[in-house]
Amino acid sequence: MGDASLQTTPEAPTPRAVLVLDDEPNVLAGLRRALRKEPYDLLCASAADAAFDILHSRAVDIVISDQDMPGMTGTVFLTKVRQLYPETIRFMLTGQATLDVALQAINDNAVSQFFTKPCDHATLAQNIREALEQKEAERTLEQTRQQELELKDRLLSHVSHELRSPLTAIYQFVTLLLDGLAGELTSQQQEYLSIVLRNVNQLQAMVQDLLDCSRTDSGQLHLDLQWHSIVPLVEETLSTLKPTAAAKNIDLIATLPEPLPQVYADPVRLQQVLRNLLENSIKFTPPSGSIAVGAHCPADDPDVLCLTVTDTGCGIRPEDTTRIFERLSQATDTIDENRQGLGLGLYLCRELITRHGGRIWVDSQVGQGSTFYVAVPLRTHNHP
Amino acid sequence: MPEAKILIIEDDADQLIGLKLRLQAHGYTVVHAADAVSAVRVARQERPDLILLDIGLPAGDGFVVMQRLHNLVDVAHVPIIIVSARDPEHHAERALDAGAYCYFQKPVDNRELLDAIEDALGITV
Repeated sequence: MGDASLQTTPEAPTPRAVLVLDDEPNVLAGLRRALRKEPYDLLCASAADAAFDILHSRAVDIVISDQDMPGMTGTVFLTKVRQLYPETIRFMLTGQATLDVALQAINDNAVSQFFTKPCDHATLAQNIREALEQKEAERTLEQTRQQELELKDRLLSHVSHELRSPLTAIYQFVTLLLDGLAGELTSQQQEYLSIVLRNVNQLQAMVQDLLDCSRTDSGQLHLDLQWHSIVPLVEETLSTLKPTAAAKNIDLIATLPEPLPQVYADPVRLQQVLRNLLENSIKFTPPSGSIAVGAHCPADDPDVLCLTVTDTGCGIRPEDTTRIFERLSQATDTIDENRQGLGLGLYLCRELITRHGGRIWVDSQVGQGSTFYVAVPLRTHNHP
Repeated sequence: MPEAKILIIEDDADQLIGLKLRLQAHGYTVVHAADAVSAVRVARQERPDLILLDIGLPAGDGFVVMQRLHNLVDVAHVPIIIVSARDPEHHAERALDAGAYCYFQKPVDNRELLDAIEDALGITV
């Protein structure tokens, strides 16, 4: 949506400006003459204060500073510029080009280029031009990236919307049939339609995940944080997924110790995380396996409640345990290569939990199974 | 069984039938309209007890319909439940501010929708 445009976009590309700070009037006059035909505004200041006044009042692309000036050295000035206006390119032009000054300027990351006086104006002009071109290219690239993100958001939002309509009709008619509203069903018909319904629900969840992934990328995913118990949430998720697990003859159980402290989280999002973890486990656990949901308060971290999902699945190789949480990633060489998915589920889990100020990770042994851990904050957390 | 009359404003013929059959099975009388213009006319004629309203409609969206309905003396008090494929993140707040009883994103769970209808009608089951 249009809201994405509220994010920081590069400033308007007009007009380019180069600011020179030097306490010697003849240096400024010389530069003014030499650069007068260049396609940017040349602004001059003879003291750091005046230079900052200019910087505060308009966008400046490049600052060129002398080193030895009354009041403030060029290195100090340029370091401040870097802190206040990191996008501004910084050059030094000095007659006191000692090795110490140059080293300090470079090591403090105060300048990108260093010129000595007297300087060849043509070379300086050329360097300014190249730096401006590079900056322009970076700006264009960033703009393109932003536009692509917005386009992708709109596309995903549109796709998600369009998929929901046929999905709704399928859901309506399958449930009409299942509820016997079009006549009594044989047990086989009942069974087959239950499979259709289960897949409709899965498809619906995928449509939601797809949209949420797009939202996390554009920073539009909102959390509705509240204090609540995870018990009903776990039970509800389990009862939703029991049929899917049963279809593979997988035992799906929850063992939650009592009492458990309340968590401070978005219950809908937390349920989405648990659902994704369980679907993932069901997908990678061979028939007749088992999946257990647990919870505990870790002794070494009193600020979180740890939710666990343990399966007897194919396991994850050590080198993949981090990568599986990346976007569009799936562990390679799983036992059953037919088990594909969008590759968004675990990424979404990580994004959702990180936004809560929590953490998600996995312990796994190939061939033995995996345990996913979700650390959910127990107290209010200042979000980044 | 409830005997209320429900107006479904929905332009997708399949979804309309699906929803209609579901509501009829629960004892409701169902009337319908498929676009923004006829929605207002049918509402005025039929005097429904409750309205299920889609947002994406031909000839003016659901928000326009809602505003027109609220301006009709005979219909202004009728509770409106929004059932739309559109993202609630962007539309639910606006719909509730405009006076909708609640907002569901499609596909909506049958039980949840029926519960909301009963709540809106003040039916205690």
